[in-house]
Amino acid sequence: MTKSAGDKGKRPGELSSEDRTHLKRRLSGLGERLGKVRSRDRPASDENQRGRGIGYALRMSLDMVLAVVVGGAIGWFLDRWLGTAPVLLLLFGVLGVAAGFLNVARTYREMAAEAREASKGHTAKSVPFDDDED
Amino acid sequence: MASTEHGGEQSGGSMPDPMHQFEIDRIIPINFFGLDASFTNSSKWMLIALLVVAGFLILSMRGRSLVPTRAQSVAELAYEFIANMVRDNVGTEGMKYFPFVFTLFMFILACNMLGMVPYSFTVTSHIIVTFGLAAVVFIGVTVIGFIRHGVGFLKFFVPSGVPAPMLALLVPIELISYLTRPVSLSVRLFANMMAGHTMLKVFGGFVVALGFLGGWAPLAFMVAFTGLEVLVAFLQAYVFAVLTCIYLNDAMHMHH
Amino acid sequence: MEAEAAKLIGAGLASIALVGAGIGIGTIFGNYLSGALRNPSAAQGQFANLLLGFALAEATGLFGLVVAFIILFAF
Repeated sequence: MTKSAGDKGKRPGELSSEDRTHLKRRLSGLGERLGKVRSRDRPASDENQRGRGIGYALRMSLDMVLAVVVGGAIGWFLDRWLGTAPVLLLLFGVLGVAAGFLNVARTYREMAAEAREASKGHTAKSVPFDDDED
Repeated sequence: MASTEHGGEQSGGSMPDPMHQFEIDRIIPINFFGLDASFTNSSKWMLIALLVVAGFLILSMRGRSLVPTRAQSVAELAYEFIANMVRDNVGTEGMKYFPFVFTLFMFILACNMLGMVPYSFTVTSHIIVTFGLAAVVFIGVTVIGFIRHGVGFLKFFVPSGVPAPMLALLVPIELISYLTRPVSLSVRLFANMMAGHTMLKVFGGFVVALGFLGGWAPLAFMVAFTGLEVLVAFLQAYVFAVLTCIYLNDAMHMHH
Repeated sequence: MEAEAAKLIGAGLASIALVGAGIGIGTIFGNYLSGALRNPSAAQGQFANLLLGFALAEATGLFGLVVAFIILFAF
């Protein structure tokens, strides 16, 4: 966890020139190796996208169901408050279904935009949200 | 809540109750003006999660070396991960809310991961905890929206370019859609954690029930499933943080 | 006691909704796969649609689950 005693001798900011060149060499070597590993992992970005897609799908199904539940709950409480038996429950249940579809449509648009971005070659998500559509 | 009627009596009574792990017991009973504010095992594990996160970040960053040690690079990795997430999803002006998102992520991650330790307690497997976290996000984001845009934030619920009669229908729909957010945020985390831990306990019961000869199959499954659960623990913390960022972005820039 | 038993039976019946969800998900993925094997170049573009179909089918199953929970805990 903590640094060893040898490390503690030199202050963080102070590096001797030989240390510096050594560090630079290591850094460029690391960059090269990173590049190699990244290029080897390039096909894995497809895998990565698939994983995110599953996440989207689970999110969509839950959002859809919960919108109906929330709408129904609002209707139920309003019904109990106003004493209008099942009218508002049904009304808000239907509105909840619509809200669920709205949720799904929104996530779908986001997902489709991301898939389009990804199929263009570079990985999505590195672009800010503001740039896609509208 | 469902703990009493199910569980225990399956398969001839040799199975342990899979819901037992979610029981709350009071360690130090505190009665706060008629409110039960006891220090429970849930509070204990929240405190432990807090100490783990704070201890790890403070200790690992104490060196502040240019070339990070292993622990320091893990801390920096976590920082960069969330900083990039906030920057990508909210933009640079969202970085003032970075401490909040980072705290949220680290806390949920620590709670989920500590829940994977045997004999521990999973704080996030209780809906009231996750709903509390989601409510903080939801109320905070709404307040931010109103502070930034004033009453104009209400336009968030009015879709543009729609004829007036349709609005009577669309505004309630938008409102319900907005109110779904904290519910789905909390239910997702809670359901994932609770289902996973119940499943682990049920299969653990199978191992015991099948004995030395037949118990190996569920044991192998449990090993694989534990790996999956660790992944889920991370993924749920990540999803919670990402959705917080997305909601923040909606409130700050007001478009869907 | 009888009401309790009826509740459990009702919740069990509500869980049958998962049959439909299973059939739906199977159909969607099966058809996607057979389509993707015929024309792999078009498969990537339809991945989002695949997930949409999956989510809608999954939602049906979750509705059944919600009904089961309502029967168990709300009555």
